[in-house]
Amino acid sequence: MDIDEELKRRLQALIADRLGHDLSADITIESIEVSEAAKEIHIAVRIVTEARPEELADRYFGLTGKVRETLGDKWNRFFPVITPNIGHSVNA
Amino acid sequence: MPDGKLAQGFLGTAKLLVPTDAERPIQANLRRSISSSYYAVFHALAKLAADSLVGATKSRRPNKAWVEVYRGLDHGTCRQACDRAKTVNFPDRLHDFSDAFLQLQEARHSADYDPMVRPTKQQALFYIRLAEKSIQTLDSIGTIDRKAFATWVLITSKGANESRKRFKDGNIRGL
Repeated sequence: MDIDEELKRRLQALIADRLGHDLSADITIESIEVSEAAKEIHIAVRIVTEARPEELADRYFGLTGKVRETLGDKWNRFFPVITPNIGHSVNA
Repeated sequence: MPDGKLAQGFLGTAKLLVPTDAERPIQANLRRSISSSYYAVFHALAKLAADSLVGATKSRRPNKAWVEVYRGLDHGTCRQACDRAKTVNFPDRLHDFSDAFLQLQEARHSADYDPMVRPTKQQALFYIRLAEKSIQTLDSIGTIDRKAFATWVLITSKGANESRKRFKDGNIRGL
């Protein structure tokens, strides 16, 4: 089982909006991997921003439930493991 | 007397292991920091369960029973309970807590065992704050929901699960 491209786009939009709202941030899903054995979906998110990691954590709290909703019934037996990879933006 | 402040202690340890200046962080310290963030939340949940089901006041509770309930939690049981909490009509804050608990547990597993990951200082700070927020959320839950969640996490017998199913199905006349 794989996550289709349309669902990936909706997850990208949701995560970027939730974590990056009102922030200067570049937020991209780096990878999505389904582990059928563990019943997990591993979502690696690249976040490039000047925001503090603590602020991102506040926004991250509650995100998993929204991702579950977006994944829908087809994936309701899978837990989305959302891993942030946080980097600083470089000013020109 | 049992130590009821382990959650704050583990959070303090998680912070101590992350350098505050431009010093290059030590990988093992970042791993232990992330692990400690998870353990802070695990101990907060254990305390909630023991306080809710036995009592929060040391002088007015059986402390041996309090420790038994506290130690009654294990990581696998908590994982299952938090994963299935979404199927129960708990407040949204408890659903968010359950999800954050699972994310922290996953991060702890990677930090403790996976030689392929290289945690960053930003990630360690992120998980410290996620743990703080999770504990604050747990502390903000009202008495009735605290008791219900503690029971949900701890009591997993066949009879308890049948009772839950009957309530969920609306078939409670026979109880």
